[in-house]
Formats: sequence, structure tokens, C-alpha cells
Amino acid sequence: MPTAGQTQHAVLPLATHDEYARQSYISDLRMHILGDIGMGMERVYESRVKPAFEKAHKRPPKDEHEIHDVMLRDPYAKVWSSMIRSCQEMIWDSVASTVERAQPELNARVNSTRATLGSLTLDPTVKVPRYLAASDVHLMPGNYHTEWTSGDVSQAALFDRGLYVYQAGLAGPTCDGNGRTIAELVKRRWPEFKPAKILDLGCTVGNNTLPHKHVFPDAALYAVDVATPCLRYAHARAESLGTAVYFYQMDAEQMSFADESFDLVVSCILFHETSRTALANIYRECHRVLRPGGLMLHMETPRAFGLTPFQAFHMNWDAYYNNEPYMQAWTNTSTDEAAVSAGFARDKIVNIVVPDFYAAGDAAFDAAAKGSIKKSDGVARWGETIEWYLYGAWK
Amino acid sequence: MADAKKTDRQTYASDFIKGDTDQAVFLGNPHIDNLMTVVIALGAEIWSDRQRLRIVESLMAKKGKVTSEMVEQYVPSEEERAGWQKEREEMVKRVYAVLSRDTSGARPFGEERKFN
Ligand SMILES: C[S@@+](CC[C@H](N)C(=O)[O-])C[C@H]1O[C@@H](n2cnc3c(N)ncnc32)[C@H](O)[C@@H]1O
Repeated sequence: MPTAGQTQHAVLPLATHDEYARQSYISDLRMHILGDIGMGMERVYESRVKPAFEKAHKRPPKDEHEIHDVMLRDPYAKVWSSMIRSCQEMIWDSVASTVERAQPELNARVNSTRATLGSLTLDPTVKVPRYLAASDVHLMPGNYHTEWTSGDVSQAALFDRGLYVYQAGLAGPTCDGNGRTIAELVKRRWPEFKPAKILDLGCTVGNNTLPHKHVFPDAALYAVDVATPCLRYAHARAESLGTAVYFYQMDAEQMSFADESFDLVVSCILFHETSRTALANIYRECHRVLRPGGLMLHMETPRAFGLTPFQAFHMNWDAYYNNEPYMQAWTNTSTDEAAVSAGFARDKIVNIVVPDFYAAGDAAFDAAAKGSIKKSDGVARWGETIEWYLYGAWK
Repeated sequence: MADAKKTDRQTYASDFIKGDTDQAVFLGNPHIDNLMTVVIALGAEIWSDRQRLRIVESLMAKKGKVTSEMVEQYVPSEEERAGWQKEREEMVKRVYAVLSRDTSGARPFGEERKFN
């Protein structure tokens, strides 16, 4: 059965009817757990967990850690946690059988892709950083980089379809909502800035890379990642979708691009999966490869210190129970200080909250992008209003 | 967030929180967590059959016959797809609503508070 909803590009494995049905079910159940059941978490906290803490300590919990300790003892939080955790495991489970069946043919197809628009430059000397290899990120068995056979791309196919299931289609048929939002924002907010060379860091399968080319058709688009399966697949996917991207296997902490060679350097949800040391190194590399007048812009989660302690606890649940080991450290790190340490001027820092391009629609997005940018403390979870957090600086 | 004035806050968040993939126990007993997974997996299987049934109904109405191959090849209309989604969401709410019931006052059987 065609994987309804998601764009059926040449390397997306075809699911059977039953697989497709299970995947759709998990998507909807996950939204229900995050939405209706998830909303109850704050209600439970305010109505009984916090009052009980205040009674015992004569003060409210002072931060997310204290909330974490008491909240997870509440029966409601236990049920919510058990459900969302099961659901996360089942996302990958529901997709794995599709990928396994497709594997030999998929690998052959990807590895015989001819580069007619873009290119793929692999470098076997690039090592997967230890921080990334240390655990199966967000419980995805095999992580981004495992190759089960030579030339294998299974992990990338698992991510591609799994991401769609995770997002319940809300990021569009090619899962490009985040990248599209960044590109549309840059174009509309700074119309005089016309990037000729764009670089996307930690591109995975390139879902959020491609929209930059759609919004800036004259730009040359580059993307890097460390994971070989993802890069191979991303290249085949981009060619199939008719988009020219130059994919390079490089560690973003230490890239071989020349100094001052890019106008725009972007990333999507990269830093919550990198260590603090890597964050500092990557910011330094962004500064180095940007030309003067260029822009760095990273899309990521909110800062924990912009949220209420409860919201920070809720957001950082993933650090403990969803194999996102750097999430809490990342959300408690100041991106402003990282930018300044990397060489950016403090008065050139850009921190922006934007509505999701698809959810808001063209007119509302345009107004938000051109208007005064609102400061928001809402947790960026899928919901009625989807907002994205951007951190960056002009060089 | 325009938090230019904020600096790194002191936190005891370590750089790396070891995931608990194999050890997490949410419901007091790993077997109960496994049962949660079973319940969710069964929901997916039931939905898969339900959707197949809808396809069979539609094929029978339109073509008067059905084969497994026809089910595999079936491409729903946008309207049908939206209908499935609605039915699925309603099923999810119906089936799992009980899990958001407040159980904070629950006591073991026989030890309930007596009202008289
Ligand atoms: C969450 S994924 C990003 C997903 C993608 N950008 C998107 O928007 O869907 C993180 C990616 O960053 C890559 N990555 C992590 N550390 C990296 C590094 N130091 N250099 C290059 N890529 C890195 C991982 O291999 C992974 O593919």
C-alpha cells in the first residue's frame, strides 16, 4: 500500500496495508497521549503534587529537578510515562518490518543512484562522535550510523518513515516543516539578505535540508552529517525529489570547508543530541565558515530557563526516559554565551520564536516574520499552536 | 527567546544522562509496563483489522468482490482517509480514556474507606 500521507519518493520503502494501519494508529495514539492525557500532567501537578510538596517543605519546588523527583511518584505521571514510552518504542517497531523487507532492494537502489543534480562525498575516516554512539538516540534501535550489511541504509529509512509517524504528518508530506519555516523566515524577515551558499548541519535524511533550495532556488545547498547510512539515503532521496544538494560526510565540530565560505549556516534539532563540548566546537565552526555579514540560525527546543519549572520538567522527561541524554544539559545551556564564546558579537545575536509555517499559513506566518517577534515561553510540543525556537547570530 | 542577559545557570544536570532503556519501571513492576505495551500493540492490531474491514466493505460495494491483492493495492480517497482518521481518533479516546482516571486515592481491595 502506498505510504499514504507521506510523499512516496524513490527510496521510501512501501508498507503493507497492515503496517501502514499500525503506523497510523501509533501516530494518533501518540498525539492523544501528548494532548489530552499530557495536559492532565500539569493539572495533577498543580492540584496535588505541588500542594503536597508545599505542605512538606513549606515552599514550592524550586526547579525542574525537584519537580521531577516528586512528580514521577504520582500515579498519573506513571501511567503517562509508561504509555508515551511504549508508544515511542512502537514507532520504530511499526516501521522496522517495512524496512527489513525492503532492505536488499532498497540498498541496491540507493547505491546505484546517479548524481545528476547534487553530489555525495563520503569520508570513511570520519568517526561517529563518542557522545552520539553512546546510546540509541530517542530509542531508535541501531541509531543513525549502524550499517547491518555493507552499503546499508536501513537506519535512514527507519528514521525517514519513523519521523513521519512521530510527527503524525504535521510537518508536511516530506517532513520539511522545520526547514521550510527557517528558510521562509530568513527570506521574509531579511529580504535584502540573499544567501548564495547555504550549509545545513546534522542533516540526517535531508528532510529539513531540501526546503532551503525551494525557498532560495539560486543558492548552492550543502549538508553535512557523520552517519553514512543517512548520507547515502539523503542523497538518493534528494535526487528523487529533484533537488540539488551537496552532501558531505563531516563532523560538524571539525569541517573541511574553507573559512568564510558560507552565507547561511542552519541546523534543525541538532543540539539536544550533542554534548556541551560538541556544541561549543560546532558554534566555533559556524563562526569560522561564515563570511562576514553571514547568518547562523539553529532551530531547537526552548531554553529551560525561559519556561516554568513544570514545563522544564515536562520537556526534559525525554532526557531520562527517551534516550535523549543531552537534552537537559542542552536546554539549560545559554546559546547566547555559546555564540559569544565562538566569536559572535553579543549585539548580533538573534533569538526568535516563530509559528510553524504550515500550521500558521502564509499570511499569518508572513505577519509574524515581518512583525515584532514575540517572546514565548510555551513548550514546543505539537498542539494547537506550533512554535519554533531559533538561536543564532550575524557575523 | 530574547534572553541575551541570561547566563549559564547553575544546574546539576550532568552532560550525559544515561538512558534507562532496559531498566525503567513506570508502573511499579516491569510486567505491568509490558502489559501496557501489549495493550497498545493490540490496539494497533485491532485498528489494522478495522481498516481492512472498511476497505472490504468499500470494495464489495464498488466491485462486488475482494481479494487480498485488492486490499493491498487499495488507495483511499481523501474523504475516506479523513473518515478513517476520525474513526481511529475516536477509538483511541474510547479505549484509553480510563487510563486518565484519577487513581491517587486508590487503596487495596478490602481496605477502602468505609462510608456509613
Ligand atoms: C535529530 S537528528 C537531526 C535531524 C534533521 N536535521 C531533521 O531536521 O530532521 C541529529 C543528526 O545530527 C547528526 N550529528 C550529531 N552530531 C554531529 C556532528 N558532530 N557532526 C555532524 N553530524 C552530527 C546525527 O548523525 C543525526 O543525523
